Amino acid sequence: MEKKYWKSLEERNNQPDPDIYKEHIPDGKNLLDVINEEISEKSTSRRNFLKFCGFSFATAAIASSCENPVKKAIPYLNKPEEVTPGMASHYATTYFDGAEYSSLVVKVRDGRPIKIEGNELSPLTRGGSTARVQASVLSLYDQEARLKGPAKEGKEMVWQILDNDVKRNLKEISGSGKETILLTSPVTGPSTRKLIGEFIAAFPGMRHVVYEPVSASGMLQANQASFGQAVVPFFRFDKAEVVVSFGADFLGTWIAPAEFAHDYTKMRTLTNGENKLSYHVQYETGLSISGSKADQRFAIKPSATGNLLKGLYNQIAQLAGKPALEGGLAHDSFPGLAKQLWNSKGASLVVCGSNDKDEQIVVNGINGLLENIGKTIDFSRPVLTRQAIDSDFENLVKDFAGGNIAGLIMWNVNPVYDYRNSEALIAGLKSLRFSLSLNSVTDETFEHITYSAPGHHYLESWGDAEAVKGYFSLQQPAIRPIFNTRQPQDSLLKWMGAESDYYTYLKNFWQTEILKAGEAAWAKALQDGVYNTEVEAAAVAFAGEALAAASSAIASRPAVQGFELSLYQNLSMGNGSHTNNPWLMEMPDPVSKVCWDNFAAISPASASALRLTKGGMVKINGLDIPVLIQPGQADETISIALGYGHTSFGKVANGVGVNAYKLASYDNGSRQFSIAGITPEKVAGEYKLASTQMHHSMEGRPIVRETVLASYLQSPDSGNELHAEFEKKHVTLYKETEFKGHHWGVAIDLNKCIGCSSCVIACQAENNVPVVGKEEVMKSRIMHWIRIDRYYNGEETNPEVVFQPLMCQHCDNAPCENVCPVSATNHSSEGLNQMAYNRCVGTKYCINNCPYKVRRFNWFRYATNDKFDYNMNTDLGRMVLNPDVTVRERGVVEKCSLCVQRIQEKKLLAKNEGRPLMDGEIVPACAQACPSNAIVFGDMNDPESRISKLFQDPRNYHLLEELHTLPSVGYLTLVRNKPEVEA
Amino acid sequence: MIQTTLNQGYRQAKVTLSALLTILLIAFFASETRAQDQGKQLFEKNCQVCHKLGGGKLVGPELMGITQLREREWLVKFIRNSKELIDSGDPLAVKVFEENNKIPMQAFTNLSDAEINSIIDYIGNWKPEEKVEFAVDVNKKDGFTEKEILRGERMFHGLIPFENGGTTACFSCHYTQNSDTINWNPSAYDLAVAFMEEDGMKIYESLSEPTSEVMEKAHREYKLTGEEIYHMAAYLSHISGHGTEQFKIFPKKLMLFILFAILMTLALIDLIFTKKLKYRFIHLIILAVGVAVHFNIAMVEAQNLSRTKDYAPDQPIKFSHAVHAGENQIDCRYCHHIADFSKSAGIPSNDVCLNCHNVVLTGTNSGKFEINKIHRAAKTGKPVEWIRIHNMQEHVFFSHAQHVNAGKIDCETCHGPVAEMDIMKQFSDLSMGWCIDCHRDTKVNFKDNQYYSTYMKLHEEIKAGKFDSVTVEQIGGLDCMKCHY
Repeated sequence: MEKKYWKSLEERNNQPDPDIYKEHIPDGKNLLDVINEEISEKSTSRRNFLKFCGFSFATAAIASSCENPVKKAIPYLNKPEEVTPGMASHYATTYFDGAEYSSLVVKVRDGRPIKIEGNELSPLTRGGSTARVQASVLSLYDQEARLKGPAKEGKEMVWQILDNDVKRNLKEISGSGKETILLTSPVTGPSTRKLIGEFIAAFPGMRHVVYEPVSASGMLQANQASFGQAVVPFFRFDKAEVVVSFGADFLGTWIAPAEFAHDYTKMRTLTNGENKLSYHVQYETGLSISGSKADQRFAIKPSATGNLLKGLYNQIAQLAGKPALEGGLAHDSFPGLAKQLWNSKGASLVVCGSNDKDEQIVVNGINGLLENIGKTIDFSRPVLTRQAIDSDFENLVKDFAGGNIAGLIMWNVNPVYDYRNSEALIAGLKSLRFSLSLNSVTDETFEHITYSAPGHHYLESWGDAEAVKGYFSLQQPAIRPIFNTRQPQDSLLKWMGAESDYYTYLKNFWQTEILKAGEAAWAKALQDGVYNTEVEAAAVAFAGEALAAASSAIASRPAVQGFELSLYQNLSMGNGSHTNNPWLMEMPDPVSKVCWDNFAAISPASASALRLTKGGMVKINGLDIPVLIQPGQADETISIALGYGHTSFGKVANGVGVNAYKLASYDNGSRQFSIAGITPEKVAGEYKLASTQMHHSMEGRPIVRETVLASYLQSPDSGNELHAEFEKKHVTLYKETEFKGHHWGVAIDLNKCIGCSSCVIACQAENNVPVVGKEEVMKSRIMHWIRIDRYYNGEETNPEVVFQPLMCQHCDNAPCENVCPVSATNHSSEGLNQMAYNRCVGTKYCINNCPYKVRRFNWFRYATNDKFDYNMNTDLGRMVLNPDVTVRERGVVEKCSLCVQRIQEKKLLAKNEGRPLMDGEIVPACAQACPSNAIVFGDMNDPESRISKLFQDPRNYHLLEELHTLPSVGYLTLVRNKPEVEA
Repeated sequence: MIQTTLNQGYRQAKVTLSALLTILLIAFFASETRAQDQGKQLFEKNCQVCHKLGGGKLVGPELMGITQLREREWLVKFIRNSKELIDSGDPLAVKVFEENNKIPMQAFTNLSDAEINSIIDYIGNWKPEEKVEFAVDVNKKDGFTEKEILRGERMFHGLIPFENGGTTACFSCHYTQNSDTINWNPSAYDLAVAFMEEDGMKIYESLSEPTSEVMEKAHREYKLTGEEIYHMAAYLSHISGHGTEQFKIFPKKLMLFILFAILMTLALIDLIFTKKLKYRFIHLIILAVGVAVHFNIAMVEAQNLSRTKDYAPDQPIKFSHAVHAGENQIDCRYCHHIADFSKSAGIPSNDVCLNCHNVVLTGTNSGKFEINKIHRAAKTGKPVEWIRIHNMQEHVFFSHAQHVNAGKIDCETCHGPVAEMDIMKQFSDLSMGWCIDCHRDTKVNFKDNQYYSTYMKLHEEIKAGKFDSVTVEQIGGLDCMKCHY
């Protein structure tokens, strides 16, 4: 009755992974020969080793009997009131990188930010955050890529000379009647928007152009045509009973993923007496995490999107009694889906990730028919983070050649890297008389501009944001600027000759225009980080005439044949502005489980048609890309992730993967990331991708338990019948351990986990988990304490996908504890499986005996080791380390501690205040970061705690519970809202 | 700045020596008459706040030469009660009052006529110091020849006597080697640092214009010539980069170890080759005792590897806990105030010191030299670099808040009789066994602290009479992850 799950194609077809053996054993050789050869090659024989041992013991004894080093304790001269050595302070601030917004609380220890957490007061992100946001604290300490001070043509200079140069240039250009362009990423800060307005007014002939590498230009134009408003509305997934997505990865990267993930999972909750699930259908090309979570997923070619949308429109129009559109493609799923959508009129949502204006108009048409406008599609609170119209930038590149533009100021954009035609752009940049960049890091564009006036990292900056209309948030510095940088707003104010600095400007603006109140309100807003105002309900109506035009435009497109390309943003890299972050670089993609590279994902059938194999290379439009055979990929399509292939972006990013932006095209007023009519060719060469896929396989045991809604409603333990059976069998001859105080545990709701990997990065930041690099990842030595296991089931053309976060299960009868010869790992009185690093001698017996494979061995000293040139080998890079967690030495085993430092911290707080601990007071890093609240931590001894209740839920089960390991981590079964019951 | 641990013998000798020295000094100073200082002392106590002698107006007018300008009788009246004199309409008094922004002078009705006269005598006799000119550059700070430095060193150590007297060698007070009893005088190294600072100590002036009583008495007979100052400067500039020498510890254990090694070798040689001693049991006893001693030394030393009990380094300021916590009864948590809520007890920041030392400018024992270091740090912006004494191993998490606030443990339990320590030292060995022993025995405040109300099972067992109090061990105080994570 259990489903057959598989982790990779090799496993499904019962083929061993050839690579595993090939790497170590050349053809035709005996394993023993190989080992002997290896030994004789190396100069260290066993005897030598013993000699060295003797010698090193002797020297160690002598050396350690010498004096201990003298350590200094240097106090403050004047201790700032808010800094207490040994205690963290928390500041609310705002993250906006030009694409993604998050309201945050920054944990600052002894003056340095070390961890980022979501701000629970934010009505948008509600304490959640994505992996990219979690990792952003590391980029603060990027010694190499961050710009150190103002420069002209790469030569350092002082701010005053730069200011004089800039002012003179801007005035002269303005006087000569030529244009200066202020090219920025979307500006969400209301005060900055006002400031830019004033700056432009100060220099006649200046113009502001907004540029986004991956924009929502198509949707903005479509909404202009359909509703007369060029805005992105807020999509209310928390009100949508039926969600249909055409290629929009709204849980991963589309528009506002952290917000959507929270809202979406609210409708996917079966705890607390809820018994309804939304119905989610996904039509997409590559397999995204949204597609993985869908109840029904269909693989489609990107070129079919327009016609399929029309087909769905026609089905619904038929039910609504409205005229159908001409043409359109039918899909097997449409009749049923249309009915369900129609039944949930006003509570359904159709979204589309396409950047094509006409396709978005049809989507508007469908939502119009379904009466969703104003209900699940909220125009009164539009999303303001998407502002760029692609044609603006295309025209700008053309205008450069015209010669009327003489100056350019760039802020937080890197078009030489992420614009499709960088040659034309570079030629344009060279023709400029004056060019300046306000970017804070070195990038591809940096080489082609004259002046650099670097800005701060966002954790050093003042600022504000209005990501969604009426939801304001403030940004405040959490550290003094590390380098000689200056906030771009301050630069603008200086150049326009204003007296005040930006902090005063910001404060005045907020007090007069937003808060309309004095100091106290300002202090409160700063403390909270967020401030909300009421907005008027927007009256929008769908204009029908746009639809006809869009429909005929889609109909008039030439039919396309053959392979198609789909460029997408993956979870770790997004649009490529954080590629130099080693944490993100080593974060495995939850679906492909590949890190440190991008690749051409191709379906198994198409791969065999092109005779492509794993480890091979394919050539697409002149780019050689490694192949990954991806189940669920639409046939005759290839998906490539954007954001890789940097050339001068820092040591981590440079030369990793290929830059897929160069494959994009421009059509119908928007940049297009789906390209038809490509001819992929197999090319010679081998390339190994670092994949964590075959690690830690659980060999087909009932580890993921799943059911469908109908069965669940009949019997809540559906799919989980085994749990009750195993529970009965937990008898033992040994004395059972009694937990007299707390008994910590974690419950993970598989229905809510969306695989976003935010927890992975949060854990890495909290627990000083090192980055090991591609080579080591290929040797299965990735160090993450929590991983997202991904299982497929069903057909390889379109499998269902399950994510399962896995960390140490803290078994009360732990197999690892029994085998440790030095008792370095044992059980605490509070149910934690504890690991004493200073006791561990590195036998790795525990690793071998752990059925969950969650233990990690430190094969090297990763900190202060230049062979691992990521962040832990520089003084600045190590600033991010959490001082409450040991940095592990070489030769010891480590694993999830359930964030014991946080447990101890909160316990102490309660003790000092003389009160019991409250449920939910202790939050491990993974649970804190989770945007969908899938992870719940608590005390199992407290019958009223959330976890005790979840553990009583019939959906709850433990991994490999038949082994009587008695894990403290429980999982709640996955329930899909599929119409038919699986046999 | 170097750790010094002395063997017992040396320590005793040192104590005796310093006691003798103190007695000698007291006898010497007691013979001096105190009367001649009365006027000066009264002036410094009462007048100096508002008046200067030479150097112009402060709050009140300059007093140099005032005895020639005014009648003594008038001065006595004015000092006794100036307001009375002004109110009586004395034209001179009114004039003085108005010339000085109508700030009335404090009345000194508590002073006797004799006392006021002694002040006036002091003012009358006071003469500004004559500027002394030297033939050599006495402010030179670098570029000395080795010969000059050597001569300076010899002078400092009393090997070359000073021309104009001063019999005690500099180094008998300004020590060049650390010890474990406090020597309140600035060390030679301290002097060198002060001398090398920009706008720092000037050798001649600090001897001729002492800022404190202690200094004046100690330096009264020293009148250095220019050439001597020059050589002294050479020596000071030389040692400023070196630091105070470490006292060489006599390696008793090592000697014992070697002695037995030799004895054992000899015994072996005799046993096998020379065979001079008839009785073999002598060899065997030597060997047995030798092996026992060797093993004992090896074991004790191995246990103490990286443990630093009794570590008492020389600190950059001669801060005495005995003076602050002992004599002056200042609560530990006045300075180490974050111990209540942070994991670290906190080295007090400079501004905490200045809370008191803005007013307390002269130390009973150390004069102004040590306290000036705090002010100098505030002025230069360079914090004082204390030497850390309690170095917990890096893989150990220790929280003061946990022990001080939640556990209500006294500071002295772990830090020892701090209020008696002039030189702070590590009292406990901070070994894991020491931690664990305490966790086994210490009882927690189980009934009163509401936090423990969740430990239902333990409460039930108490009710059932199994035990009446709960130790740290029972609530998981021996778990690895209480301290290691």
